[in-house]
Amino acid sequence: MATKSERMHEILEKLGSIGGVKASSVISSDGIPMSDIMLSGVDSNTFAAMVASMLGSAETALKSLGAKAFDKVIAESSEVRVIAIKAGDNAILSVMVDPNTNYGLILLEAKKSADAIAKIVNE
Amino acid sequence: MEDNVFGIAKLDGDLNGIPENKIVIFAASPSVGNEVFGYQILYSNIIRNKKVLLLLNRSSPMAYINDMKDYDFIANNNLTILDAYSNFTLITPEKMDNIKVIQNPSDKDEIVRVLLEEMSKDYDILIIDSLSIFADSFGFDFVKSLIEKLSSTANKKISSALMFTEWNYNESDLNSIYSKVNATIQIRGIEKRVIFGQYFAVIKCDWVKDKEFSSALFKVLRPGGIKLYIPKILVTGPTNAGKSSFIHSSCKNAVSVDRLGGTIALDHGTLDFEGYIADMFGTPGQERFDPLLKMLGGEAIGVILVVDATDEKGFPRAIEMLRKTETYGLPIVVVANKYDLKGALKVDEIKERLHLGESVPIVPTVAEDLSKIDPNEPTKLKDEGVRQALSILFGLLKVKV
Repeated sequence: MATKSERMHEILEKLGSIGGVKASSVISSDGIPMSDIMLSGVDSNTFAAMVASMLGSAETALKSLGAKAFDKVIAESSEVRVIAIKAGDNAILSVMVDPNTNYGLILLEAKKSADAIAKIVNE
Repeated sequence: MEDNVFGIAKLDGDLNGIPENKIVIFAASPSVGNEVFGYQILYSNIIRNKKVLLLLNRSSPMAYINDMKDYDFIANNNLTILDAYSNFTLITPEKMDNIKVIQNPSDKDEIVRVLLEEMSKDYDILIIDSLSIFADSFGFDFVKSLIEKLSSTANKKISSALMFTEWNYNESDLNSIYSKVNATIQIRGIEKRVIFGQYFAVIKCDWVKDKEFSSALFKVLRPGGIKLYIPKILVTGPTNAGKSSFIHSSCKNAVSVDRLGGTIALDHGTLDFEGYIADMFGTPGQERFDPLLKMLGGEAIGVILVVDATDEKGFPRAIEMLRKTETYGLPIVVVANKYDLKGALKVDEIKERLHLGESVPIVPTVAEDLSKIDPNEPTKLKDEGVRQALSILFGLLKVKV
């Protein structure tokens, strides 16, 4: 039986095979990297902390508007698009995507992967 | 017909505008200007189709209108100006339909006669800029009788806003004026070598009953005019010291972005302390969130540094966080939290080991109920320490009402 982090890594590898996906990582909801397939030269500790911060702030902002459920944050620039999606209450899946691809499929697959990761985390 | 307005949301909210036949005085200390309050009232009313009469003796009509433009306040036909300035200075007065020149502005009787005659027409509000110049030229008895005439004018719907600068007058003269008006709004600066902030406060208002008025800090923006300004207090310190707990214990409406027992983005609360309002921002303590610190510390005017009294190893990190938030050197109060726990250092020992200097105040705080501590939630701290820390900080900021 593979370890939790090996199984997470497998999910990230599968996600990485979709066209347009540049990198991906699983982050604990308090901002610590758990498993990642990162671009070279990226400080994954800072990246993880900032993604958690961004997702947490967005969730607090939306809940102050009365929203009950919260799903994801998408940050965009001309070079990269980052999708940070909740994987249960304790983890976050972040996917870095080429902004020039159609990312409907990626969103769909990311959601499935996030659900699978949530299951692994909560085992 | 709706009432005349101040054009400043806080005043309009607290006082419900300026009702008919009421006289408001804006009393400013010489170090801060009050003319912008005049612009703001003038503009906010002319754009509501109110007829405004402006009596000028401090600047020429064109200078006044041009200065207003800097704030994006553009005059229109609802404004009529009585010019009691130009003939004083031998500048040739502008001849325009909406500007009426008082031929001999050193004749106080002529001023009153022209003013009362004009006031009896269909105006909604009178602005005088400035009343203190009348006090200087003609004495306080003239100013008192002028205010009496304003309140007994035949035009019962007109209200008045008077700009007054409190030069070195004696107290009894000032009070003799303030007792004759319906509302007094004080404008003051918070001075610390240079002017560090400005605030206004409603000192009295006879048409609003049973209400306490709080003072409000403001900034003057060009363009934009008077904007309320909420000062920011930063709460920082090492991880697990009690920053979120301090904010939640100080503010009723605090929100935190925290996960698994630690703040991951920020805490925010609105502090309502002894009539003062401030925004409180709390930082995360863990190093991996350090890129946020500079942003969170920006524009803070005071700092609460929370340390865990039982954890001396965190002290160097506390100092490092002051540097990273770029708040080193601002007024600061150190909160020594968990002061009742075993192994807690005494105030003197903390002072010695923190190396922040003799003069930095250190206030111990403790949890209200140790049995109720939930590691995933901010802890309620005892009121006494929290209030003491805030009160010392506000004292350092010299924010006095």
